[in-house]
Amino acid sequence: MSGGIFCRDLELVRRGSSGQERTIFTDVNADFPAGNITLITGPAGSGKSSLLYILAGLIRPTRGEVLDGEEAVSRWLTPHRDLWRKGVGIVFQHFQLFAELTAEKNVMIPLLPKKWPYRRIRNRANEALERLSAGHLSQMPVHFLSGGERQRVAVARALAADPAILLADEPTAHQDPEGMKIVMDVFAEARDRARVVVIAAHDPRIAGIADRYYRFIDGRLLHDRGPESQG
Amino acid sequence: MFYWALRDILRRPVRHLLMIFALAGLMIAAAAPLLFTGALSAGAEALLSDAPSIVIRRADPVGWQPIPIEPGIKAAESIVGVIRVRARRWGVIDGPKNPLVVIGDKGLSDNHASSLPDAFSSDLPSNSDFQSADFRDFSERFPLTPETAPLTHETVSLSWVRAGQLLNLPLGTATDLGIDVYYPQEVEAVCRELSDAFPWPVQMLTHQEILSLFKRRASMMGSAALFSLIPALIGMILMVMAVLQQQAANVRETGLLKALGWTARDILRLSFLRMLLVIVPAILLGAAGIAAVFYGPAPFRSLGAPLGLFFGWHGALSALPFDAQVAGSAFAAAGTFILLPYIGASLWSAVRASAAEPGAFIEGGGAG
Repeated sequence: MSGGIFCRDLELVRRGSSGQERTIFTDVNADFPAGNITLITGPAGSGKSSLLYILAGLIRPTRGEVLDGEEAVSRWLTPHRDLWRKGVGIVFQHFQLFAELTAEKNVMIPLLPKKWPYRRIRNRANEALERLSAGHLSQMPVHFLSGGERQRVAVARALAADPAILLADEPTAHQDPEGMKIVMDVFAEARDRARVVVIAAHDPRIAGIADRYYRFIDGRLLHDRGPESQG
Repeated sequence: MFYWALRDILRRPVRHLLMIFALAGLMIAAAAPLLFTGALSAGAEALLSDAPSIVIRRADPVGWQPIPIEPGIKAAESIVGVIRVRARRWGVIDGPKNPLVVIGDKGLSDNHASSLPDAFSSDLPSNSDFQSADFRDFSERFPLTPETAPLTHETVSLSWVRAGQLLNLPLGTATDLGIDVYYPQEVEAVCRELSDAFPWPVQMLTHQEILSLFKRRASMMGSAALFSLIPALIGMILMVMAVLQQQAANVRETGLLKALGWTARDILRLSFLRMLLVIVPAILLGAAGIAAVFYGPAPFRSLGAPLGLFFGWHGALSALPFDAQVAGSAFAAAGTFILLPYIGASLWSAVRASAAEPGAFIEGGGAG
């Protein structure tokens, strides 16, 4: 179980195909403690998704480090970070589902390396779908599903392995109020079970559930007081 | 994991079926020269095991002439050192479909025609349909055991009389005489005496000369069979390129799996299982194909007919005599030649993809 993730002096510089460099963000210092939902907001292209990718160990920062407790995971060699990533669940902004597979099979993917019996993997996947009120979609190929349904399948996939760290990029962008409540409830559950929950979103409806707030402004991540700061 | 690998294969069934058939086909093509070389060498050994020390033919200024059996045997037996003289009838005739080698066998009755391969015996027309053709200038074709099949393709054994009729040999004559000597080291001396013993001009071939002719022919046939490796080689290169291209197209999937908690080891395990699901059927199919094309019944062997073009054969290949050691090593070598590059290409791509940072493969590494 993670005690929390902490960013220290993070900087991300991207190099374009023309060789031109662009600093996405710099001097990012942030704490994402366990048992909290942390919301990161900011304009499009400000670096929210990139920060989630760095927190998930999918890319390395140009400078600075990400600590899981006291371990500088961003410095670890790839095989060690691969193992650590088993404890991370991520909801991608564009879902990244396998379109030709059923919802159930998509949710089973993070569980397959666990060497559990097939039936157990399948049950766990269906439980995750049920928690997202998507149990009835279990046997449907995801390309038949609506955007909101796909998003709930993506959230179910992130939750299926019961990760210690849950990262979500715009997880409610396609949800109606009912879907929104379902998704927020599972994030709240994760928080109550002392998971690290980090959400990057524009959706103002999420603000109410978060415990901590950060906002990207001009490439810097600033601590925010949340809805109360916006009146 | 196995289930997932199987699902992956079934997700693109046509592509993987084609890959399995391509691998099996390449294995058969690669095994062909190795099996032929082994069979040719065994065939030559079997043919020459009973070959006479000297073969004598009558040669007039106009060409080869039938040799009268009785005076011929008498003349040969008059030489000291000769222990056995055999009259032989054989030659090339125009067959119903293609030229055939006919051999007269004193052990067969007049209405019997056995052949190697069997397929030709039923096609033999009546005597009048045949014309004699030039004799070939070499060959010892006794005994026609199955081991000799690769070297006696399109050869027919007939009764002694019927062979003589088909070859237009007058009564009491033979194609040549096979002579055995007591001491092999005396062959040259015996040859000198033999040339003076006959009342007609004769030409002689010694066992050593026949052996070197056979070796030359076997080596030419083996080299010709090696040409079948060229399409196999090209096919293998194309297959490796296809695998690399396919794996390159899968990098997004690999990145995604890593992002979802799969380790490099898990991905390698998946790639390995996926590869096994292609390779095992390909090996089984390749083995079945090799057995059918080279050792099976004629309808299956006709699949290998294109290989016969290297040797000027027509129709189905002769069934090769089964030698477990030759077949085993040819199968292993063909498998290694074809499968190793496939395994290498599959695993190398998997290692590369699994060692990479997953973020680079998905959503442009997190642009937002």
